[in-house]
Amino acid sequence: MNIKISNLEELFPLLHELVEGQLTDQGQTRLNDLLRADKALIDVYAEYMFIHGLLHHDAGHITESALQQQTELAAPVASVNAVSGRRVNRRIVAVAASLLAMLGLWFVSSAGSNDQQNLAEAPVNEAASDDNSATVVAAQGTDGSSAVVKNDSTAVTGEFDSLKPLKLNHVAANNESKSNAGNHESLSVESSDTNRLPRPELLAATFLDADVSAKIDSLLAAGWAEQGVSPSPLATDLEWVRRVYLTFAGRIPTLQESNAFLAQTGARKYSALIDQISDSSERASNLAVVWSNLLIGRTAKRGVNREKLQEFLVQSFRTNQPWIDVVGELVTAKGRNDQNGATNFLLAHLNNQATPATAVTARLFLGEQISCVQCHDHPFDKGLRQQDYWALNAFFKDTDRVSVALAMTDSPDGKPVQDIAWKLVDRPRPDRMTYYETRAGQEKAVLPRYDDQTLPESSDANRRQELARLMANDSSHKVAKAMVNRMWSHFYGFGFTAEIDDMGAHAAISHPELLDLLTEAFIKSDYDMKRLMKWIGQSNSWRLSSEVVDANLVDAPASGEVPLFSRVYVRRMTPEQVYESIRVAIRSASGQTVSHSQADEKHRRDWVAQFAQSYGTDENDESMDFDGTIAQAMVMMNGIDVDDAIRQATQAMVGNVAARKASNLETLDRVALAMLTRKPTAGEKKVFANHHRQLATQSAATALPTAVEDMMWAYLNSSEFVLVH
Amino acid sequence: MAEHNNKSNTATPQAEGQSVEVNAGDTVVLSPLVKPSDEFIRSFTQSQRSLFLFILPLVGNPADADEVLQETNLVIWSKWNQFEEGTNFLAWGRAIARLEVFRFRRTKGGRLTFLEDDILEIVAVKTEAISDDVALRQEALSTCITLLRPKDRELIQMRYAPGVNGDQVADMLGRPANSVYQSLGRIRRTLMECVKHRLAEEGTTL
Repeated sequence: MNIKISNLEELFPLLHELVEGQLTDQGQTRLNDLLRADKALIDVYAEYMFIHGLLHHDAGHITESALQQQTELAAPVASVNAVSGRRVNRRIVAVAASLLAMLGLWFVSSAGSNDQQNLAEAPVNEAASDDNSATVVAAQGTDGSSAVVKNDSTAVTGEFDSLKPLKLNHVAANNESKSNAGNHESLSVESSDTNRLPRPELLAATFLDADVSAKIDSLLAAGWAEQGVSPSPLATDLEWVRRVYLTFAGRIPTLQESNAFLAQTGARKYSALIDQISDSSERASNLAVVWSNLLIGRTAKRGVNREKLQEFLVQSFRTNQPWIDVVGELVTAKGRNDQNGATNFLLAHLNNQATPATAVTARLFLGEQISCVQCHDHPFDKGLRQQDYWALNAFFKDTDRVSVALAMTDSPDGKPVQDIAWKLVDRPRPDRMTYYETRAGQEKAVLPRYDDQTLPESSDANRRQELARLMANDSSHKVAKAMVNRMWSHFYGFGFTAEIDDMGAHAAISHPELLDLLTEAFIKSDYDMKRLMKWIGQSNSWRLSSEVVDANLVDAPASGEVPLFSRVYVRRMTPEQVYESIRVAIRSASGQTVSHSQADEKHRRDWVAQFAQSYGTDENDESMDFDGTIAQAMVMMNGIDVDDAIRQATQAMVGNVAARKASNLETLDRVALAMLTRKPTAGEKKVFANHHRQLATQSAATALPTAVEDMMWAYLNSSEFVLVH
Repeated sequence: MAEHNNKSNTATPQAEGQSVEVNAGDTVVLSPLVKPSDEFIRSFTQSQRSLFLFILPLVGNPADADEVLQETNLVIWSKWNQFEEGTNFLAWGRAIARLEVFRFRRTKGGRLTFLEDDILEIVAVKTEAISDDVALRQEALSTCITLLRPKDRELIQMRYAPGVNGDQVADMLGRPANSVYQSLGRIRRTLMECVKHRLAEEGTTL
């Protein structure tokens, strides 16, 4: 369903009010207007009232049936409460209250230090001349593309039997050109691939990374000019460096890294940092974390070996495998899940007749949300039919999982335990058809079909390999497009479509030319993930501050508007980013290294898993209970003794003061830099000084350590800490 | 809810032979000899929850929904001999309930009608479909409730305990009413999504 998100977000508060008897007459009128404007909201309204009605009607009896669950789960509640009584909360309440209120408003109030260079004029003007030609090209592209697609698919239909060994027919990788960071040229593309590009080409056969970044800037600027908005000023070095580390490495920068970046001069230092961090192993492991969560979720699943999947992903990203090959491996993986990590993706989703595998493949790799067409044709999207869902599902028909008994091992309590591995195999079923039932109750049968190419019933080709091959040769480049959109949203917090994995024909695309440009570049670079990240990361636009300015107030995708990317949107960290950032903040403040052991990695996974809950839905969805507040994060961080760690960090900070004869305020500078990657504000300095003075009246010796420690807690607990901005 | 069920059950058949005012000018004389069959009574009892759930979205709050349901029950009992055994009782009941909703809105004359007519029609179509598979949905909802965080589940249970409203929950918890409303809203939304997913899954398990 393609509901306008702003409507949906306006509807829910009205519904909450209605149900609690708080709806005003104006609210009621607005409710009617909303329902009239967007018929899809009527479903939401009816479903919501149904929940309310059933709860109301059945109250007595639901309470009874849920009571047993309640008692079972009473223990964890009690323990959380017990933990929250610890020092963590005392700190939050005692010292930080006034400070927190101040920090919470940081984004609103600190807008616009005017000395910063304003990007608005140069790019907009530059774009104005570029603009016309670009839109014309785009129009041709959309007109011409359907014809191109048609020709293409008829040309390739047919010959499946000869194609058994997996050979993905995309542009061959050129490792040589990739190894030269910053300045590579792409291979020229085979002519057969060229005419499959989505539209007349925007890039020469060979191009520089800087060309793509410049195109990004000019296309975005064209949009700003058209909509009459101005971009935010450039981010400060500290805002930017924090963003870079969170985006690429999944954590905030250390004190040392921030200082090192500040110390550099010259305009080159921005792209140099991106080059450097692109080559770091942290980029690979961060992407691997992001993608294993996407591929198998955060909750533990039986028969799924998360470590091995993550190893596979780390390896793929570290060696910068073409994305299409990674997708191919995930879709076609065979063998034992403790030997071939890639098998774990499908092993996680073969339940329920592989419907999760179908939905997740479509969503993650193709950028299509198709689970709703599982049961009925798409109400708006003319292209998407129920049979398409099952035709995709049919590719997984032969795939099966078998358990393999491993050697017996002794468990800690001495009893022998049978270890089990799972194996992903293909066992062709005698019946080649896949059956489904239409809404009218008719049974229908389909063969595997993708991109209008059907695998014949007689074909004995490995169906998953066929799927991978067809995806690599997709006439509309869905795999590339989906990755570009997702990566863009990784950098900006919003993608080119309202939902990044819903790019079907019905979805409005905010920047079609830009999406096409990046898709083309991505394909021409042979699906080079590292370069894709550099193009976005090294653009000038991505250097814009996340502060809202008056001139781009209307650029508010969070309230359902089409994003203009006139700034880098503020968003909450993921739980993984929060965990790693707390760790880095405390460790770098105490001068410790931030390197990771296997055990740390596992600890983080367990920590994150506490918030995740599987809903066992048709996409094996999960819900995250993480509300993004540090208070919650801390409470849940039982394993690491945050108290001790902070005390250590305090000692390091204070010891430093003594050794370097630094002033108290310089110490505050370091604390702010370590925790929030910025300088303390005037208000914070005042609070700190007052607090220190007050403490000194009690004990001169402990005043500074206590004040520093309290500031650390206050910063860590601020709403600002958990923001990517 | 207990009080609600009691009220429904008081809507017993009218005394034999008595004529009942049903709709404007529509007078029905009950047959003096025949009584409703056991089947009819069973269908009636079973339909109560579905009818309530059908009516609620059309009138917007449980109290009004109860009132309309009472009126609907009266009509159902007065027309019991017009019901053809073997046909869909619930569909028949809904048709009556629908008319009662419109009548209820007329009698509330001075008050702003909750949903405007054009919207009401569309909502009725949707809520009709929902009331058709209450059993499945109820099962899904029970499961989803067990999946809630313990704290959330507790909150929902407090709120939906018979006779309790959001304000009282806020009082009991010593939390501001607004924040309690927000939490409740979030939980209901979560439950709604969860039920939707469960049903989608249910529909395809072969």
